[in-house]
Amino acid sequence: MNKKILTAILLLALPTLARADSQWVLERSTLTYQISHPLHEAEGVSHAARGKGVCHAGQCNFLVAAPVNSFDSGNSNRDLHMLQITRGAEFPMVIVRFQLPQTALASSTIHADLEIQFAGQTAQYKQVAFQRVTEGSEIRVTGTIPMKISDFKITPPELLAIPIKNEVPVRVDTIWRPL
Amino acid sequence: MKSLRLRIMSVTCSCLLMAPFLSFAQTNNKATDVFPNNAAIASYSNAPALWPHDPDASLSEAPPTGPMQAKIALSEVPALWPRELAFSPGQAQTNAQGHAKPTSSNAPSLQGLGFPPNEIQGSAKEQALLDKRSHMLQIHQKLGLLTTIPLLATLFTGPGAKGHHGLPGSPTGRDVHMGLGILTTGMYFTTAYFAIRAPKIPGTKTHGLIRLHKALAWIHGPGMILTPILGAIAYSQLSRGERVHGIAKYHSVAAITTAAAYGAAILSVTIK
Repeated sequence: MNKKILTAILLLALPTLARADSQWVLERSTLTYQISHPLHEAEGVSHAARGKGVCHAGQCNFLVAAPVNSFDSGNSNRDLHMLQITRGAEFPMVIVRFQLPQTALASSTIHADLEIQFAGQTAQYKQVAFQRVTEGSEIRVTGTIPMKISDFKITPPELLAIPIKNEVPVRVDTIWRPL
Repeated sequence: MKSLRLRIMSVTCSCLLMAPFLSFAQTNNKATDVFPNNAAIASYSNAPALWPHDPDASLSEAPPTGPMQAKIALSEVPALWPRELAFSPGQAQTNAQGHAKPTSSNAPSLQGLGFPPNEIQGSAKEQALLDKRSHMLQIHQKLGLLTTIPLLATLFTGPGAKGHHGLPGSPTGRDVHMGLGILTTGMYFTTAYFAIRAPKIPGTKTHGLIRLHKALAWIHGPGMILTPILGAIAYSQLSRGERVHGIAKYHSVAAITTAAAYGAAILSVTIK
């Protein structure tokens, strides 16, 4: 009788054990935004993002943040102008939040609904696809966020009275490791 | 009588044991309103029960009074103490971006990512400085482009002022050229003023093609001083019916060099 009860308890506990709490930490990252103007194109790169993922009861909450002033486009004047138009001194962080089922972390393609806080505004990007590759104990997640500056009520900067394109895709290359 | 005493004693003991829990019941949610993401933070109204009122008193002197104390991270104490400084409405507004957004209890918080506090806190003052800088540089850019119009016109009217084949140019040609030259010089120095007077952002290291743009100013800046001086000398020589001679001979060389450096400065920030 006791054995049966013990077996039943173990069987009931299995799914819970399978969905044990876990945490992920962003080990290193490269975030690259790309701006396009008829006269030229430019990219701004940041390696300063930090992130964390907390999984609980089969659901994972992720948070990634990077200082706006950490993006380097190779031209300090452009970077300062970018900081000004994105109100980077007033809102110094770009923050990305998303939730995933824990099972999704094992897939080679992850589709995430992103909530991005930037320039004092919040925008949602649905079903953004990321590729996931396991590299030893770490996982590498890459993808492109199809950001638009109008989503954040940013006035597009102009050069020779011509504004940059509204689309500013952000390439994401992140390495995560379990804690 | 003995049983009555026992009852009184037991009631007193119960009241004493209940006291700490009753003090927790007076919680107000000010702290959690400001930092709802931070699960580790204690409600502020608990502070008087946990800490001595003297701000100079060290935290170690605070007696352990209940389970809530374990939730207070030591690093958060200065932010909570003293009460008047900790939760000003201004600070709540400064932290508005994402910091006060309520999320589920197991969601990671921005504070938990380990960024230095000064890096995640916004500054309206710094933003105002950036706004002023950008505004002045945009005027610099527009005026600089507009200056190219009288600059090119001055260059094109130069031969008419100088004359051809050893013959002096017409007085009208000289006057037009001089007028355009004065306009160019005036617009140029107004343009330069907006770049020179734009606020500098502390801690910013200049890099990229903007360095070339700035370096070229060391050519077209002095050129824009020298060219009108040489032009004035040449103008007076021609007005006296003399051929241009002496240092004034270099007026056109100085003008062309200045214009070339000016054009290069525009291109350096226009084309990657």
